[in-house]
Amino acid sequence: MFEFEKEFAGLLKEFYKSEVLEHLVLVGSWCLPVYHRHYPIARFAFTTSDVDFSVLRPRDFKRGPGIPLHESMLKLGYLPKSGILSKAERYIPAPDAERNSLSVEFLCEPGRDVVDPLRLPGLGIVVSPLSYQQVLLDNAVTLDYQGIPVKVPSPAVWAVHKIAVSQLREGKDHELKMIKDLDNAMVVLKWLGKDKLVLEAGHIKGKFKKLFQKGFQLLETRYEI
Amino acid sequence: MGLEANVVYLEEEIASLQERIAVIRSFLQANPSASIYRRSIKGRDYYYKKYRKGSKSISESLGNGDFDIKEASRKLKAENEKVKRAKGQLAKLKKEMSALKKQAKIARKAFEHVRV
Repeated sequence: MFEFEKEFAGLLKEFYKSEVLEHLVLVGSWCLPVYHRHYPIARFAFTTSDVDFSVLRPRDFKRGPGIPLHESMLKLGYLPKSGILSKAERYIPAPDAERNSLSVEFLCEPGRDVVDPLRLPGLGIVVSPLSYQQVLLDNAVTLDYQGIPVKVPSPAVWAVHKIAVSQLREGKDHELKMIKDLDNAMVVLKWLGKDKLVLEAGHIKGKFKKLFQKGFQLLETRYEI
Repeated sequence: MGLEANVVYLEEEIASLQERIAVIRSFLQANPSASIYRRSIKGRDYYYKKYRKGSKSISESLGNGDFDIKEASRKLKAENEKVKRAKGQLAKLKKEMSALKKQAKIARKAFEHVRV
């Protein structure tokens, strides 16, 4: 049992009921609790209160009506909160929602016409483009979580992605954030082994692979693997 | 869990709590608790809502004899319940944030100590 488990399961259940879950892939550190139920990964010490979902095909929801995801979020006791400078939106617990602690963000792969946060009328939400989401979306598997089928990236790809994006961290404490990403990747690496991870990364090309290689070098030095 | 990850985790949680506290505060400012009063002037009943805005006490007319006091009271009670819950949440989050700030301070000190 980890913190916020009940709330997380409630979110998934509601998304499953409204048939929106099949269009979303759970990404970020909240994949670990799902992996933990299926694979012999070590117990992780914490999960953040930010849950991230990536929308599989945002183009499908560029026109309404579709699935009222925004209404589902309001029903569950979450309110959209946009940034001061950006159009990006995040759902945070409503002021009177006593049982909610998680915040939920919807992401997507950037594209030619998707550079800034984009409103999807078909879902009623705003998705934020984030680099290298497609790698996760292309390698999604469906795992059962408390009886609910959830799409998550395959553990190896998830770890490869964590290692690669650790090299993209910017701003204050970017070094600490990078180490946090590497720590997360290590949870999966300890179970899968170094060779399998490198093999998985071999299928990926371009700049992403370079980022992975850079991150992996740091990982090897830091954890002496 | 590494010291670095702990620092990042705690600071992200603090930022998230600060955001939530700000939202609750603006909600409470926009939705103060209110009460409904009835006043009889020259045999006619007048209803008004009274609430505080900053240091001022504001009275807002709701209607006269035809006014549906029962419905209005029911709605106001539900709104006041919401405000009460939000106040409870605010107190809880403030406590959580203070605890997290203490933990983050210790975690950062530990991290700086190891780094040196």
